[in-house]
Amino acid sequence: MSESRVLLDAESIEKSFKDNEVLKGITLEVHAGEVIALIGPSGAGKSTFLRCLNYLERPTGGSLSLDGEPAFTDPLRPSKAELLRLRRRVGMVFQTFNLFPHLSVLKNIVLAQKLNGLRSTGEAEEYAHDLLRQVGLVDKAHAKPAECSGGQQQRIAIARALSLDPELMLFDEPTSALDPEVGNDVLKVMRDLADRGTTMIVVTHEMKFAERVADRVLLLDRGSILEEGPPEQVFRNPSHERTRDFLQAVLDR
Amino acid sequence: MSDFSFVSLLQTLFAGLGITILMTVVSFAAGTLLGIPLAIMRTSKRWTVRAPAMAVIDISRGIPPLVWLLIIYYGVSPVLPLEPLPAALIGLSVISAGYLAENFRAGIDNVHTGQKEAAAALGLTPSNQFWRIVAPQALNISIPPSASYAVALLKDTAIASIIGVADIIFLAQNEVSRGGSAVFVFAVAAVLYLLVGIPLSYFSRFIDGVVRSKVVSV
Amino acid sequence: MFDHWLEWLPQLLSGLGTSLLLTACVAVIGFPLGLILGLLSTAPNRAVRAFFIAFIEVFRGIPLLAVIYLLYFGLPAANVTMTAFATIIVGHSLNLGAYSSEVFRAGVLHVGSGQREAAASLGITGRKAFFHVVLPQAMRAIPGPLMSMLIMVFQSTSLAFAIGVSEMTSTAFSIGSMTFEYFNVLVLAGLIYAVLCIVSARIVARVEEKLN
Repeated sequence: MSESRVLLDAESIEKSFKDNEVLKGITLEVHAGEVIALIGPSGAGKSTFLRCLNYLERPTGGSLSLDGEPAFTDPLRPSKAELLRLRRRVGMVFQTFNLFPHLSVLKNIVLAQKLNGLRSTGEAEEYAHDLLRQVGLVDKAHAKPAECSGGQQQRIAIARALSLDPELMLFDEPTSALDPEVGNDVLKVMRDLADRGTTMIVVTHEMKFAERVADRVLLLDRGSILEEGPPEQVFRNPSHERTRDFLQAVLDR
Repeated sequence: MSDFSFVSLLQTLFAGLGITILMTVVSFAAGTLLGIPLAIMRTSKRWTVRAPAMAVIDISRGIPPLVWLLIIYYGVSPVLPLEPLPAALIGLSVISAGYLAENFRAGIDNVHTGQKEAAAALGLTPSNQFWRIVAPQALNISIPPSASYAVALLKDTAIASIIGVADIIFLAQNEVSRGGSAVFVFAVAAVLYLLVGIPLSYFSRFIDGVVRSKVVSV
Repeated sequence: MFDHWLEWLPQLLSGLGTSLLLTACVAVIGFPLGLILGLLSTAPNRAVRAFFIAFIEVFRGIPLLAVIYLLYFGLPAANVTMTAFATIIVGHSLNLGAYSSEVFRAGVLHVGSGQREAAASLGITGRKAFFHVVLPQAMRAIPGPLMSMLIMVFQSTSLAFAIGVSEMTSTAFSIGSMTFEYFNVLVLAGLIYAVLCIVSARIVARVEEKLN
């Protein structure tokens, strides 16, 4: 894994809300094809860190590089063009799906392709059908989001995020708003993506998923990386007491 | 325009402001007194009680305010000659009664059915269920929209000038017909409405906040 | 009583036509104005925002009749003369614009931040996000309140009586002044208003229920 190219390089990312320091300088190199699970207690800063990676949250310090190129000339004052370029290359899936309720499932997936000038309408629709087939929902193409179950909506949201052919996919607790059985359908889609070599960063509470699918697990605590390594090491042989406490608490649930 | 005539304009319009406020207060009070029983009848289970209340509320709200005033002042005068002010007070009270009845009805409807069921389960009589449990909550819910209706009513009273009530607008028109600059006179008149209306609408928003926080804390 | 009603009906209905025409013109001008005012009152620039919030508050705070008189008797001094018909449309449109701006604003604010974020994560920002994601959703929440406002506009076109536009109220009044049957003819006109308002209010309520 270490020989493959570095796709994303986040260099001491900091984020403060007024006096509250949420991220205390997190550095992370993501290699192409790697699946990273971000775990940790709530309030540790996992989601904030993830959202800093596509600048939905603007870091107050640090820098991002994609493919060895800095994403911004000035990370504190990103230009509109730089922001757009970053977001087109990085896809995101939200905890609450955030599908556009006024558009059909198909149009949800077509919209960004068209507005970003990626494909013509015909091509975009064809591609949207392909993506829906991938997530097993091609029959829902003409339904409205409200007519789909939560699990279906999240799979559609994944297809939507994939529509711009992102090099990196971010997942922000994609199953925590779902019932366990339904969540499994979503996790299966994510596992398929991982198997096909998609680079992914997943904030999750699903320890089984982290253990089976992730190449690397990061445990965030109070805005810093507490523990980092392959899943077997983090889960079987953690080096910190706090990691053990956290895992104990999660597994007891 | 000289200082003297500006002062006299203000004096004139302030007299009109008094009438405007009088019409607002009286018709709001009368509207509340008529609106509450109408709302209670409107939510009755018996349609013989409900239907007439519904008809009265619909007619009161369906006929435009100005047409109401014209009916009462010009239409009723052969039978019962009325001065402009009492005619306007009657008309505005009828209109307020319709709107406020709807407010109170919405308040009654918005009290959770569980409240009535809980009261019934505790063995309260139907009349006690209504007066002890539903009505106080309904009143609370309908206070904020009623307060903002008071602001609307303040402006609606301006139509009384058309049947000759000497309110702000009527006196402003008089000034204009005696040679005052229309822009200036009506601008001053507008400011008088804002002077009363803006504090009143801040007050109604304040009440809204108070009632909301009360409802949440219960 | 009723044979008179039949006799007056054609004249009143032609007055009604004018009332409806006024209402339609006010909708065509007032709603777009309300949308623009609603957006400007949430503008990022503080001075712009303050100016338009004040503009809206003023037009919401003064009686429509005062606005109409100000335009009709005041503007000629500035060498702008409008027909009574145009004055009614302009005055009502300003009023409707101020009131409906709140509805548009609330509709836009109602669209959650998750929607904007989802759009941003797909590289859709700024104007594109507004027109393709926020505005269409805001529009779905507002037809009910806007239709109710339009019913109010229809009622208040009766104010045209004050400056002599011959819509339904003026027509009824002039029939009354010729026949001295004020009560009869005004009640008939009032009932026509009421039936139209009640029926359309019921339709609006039904449509709103369906949209939710």
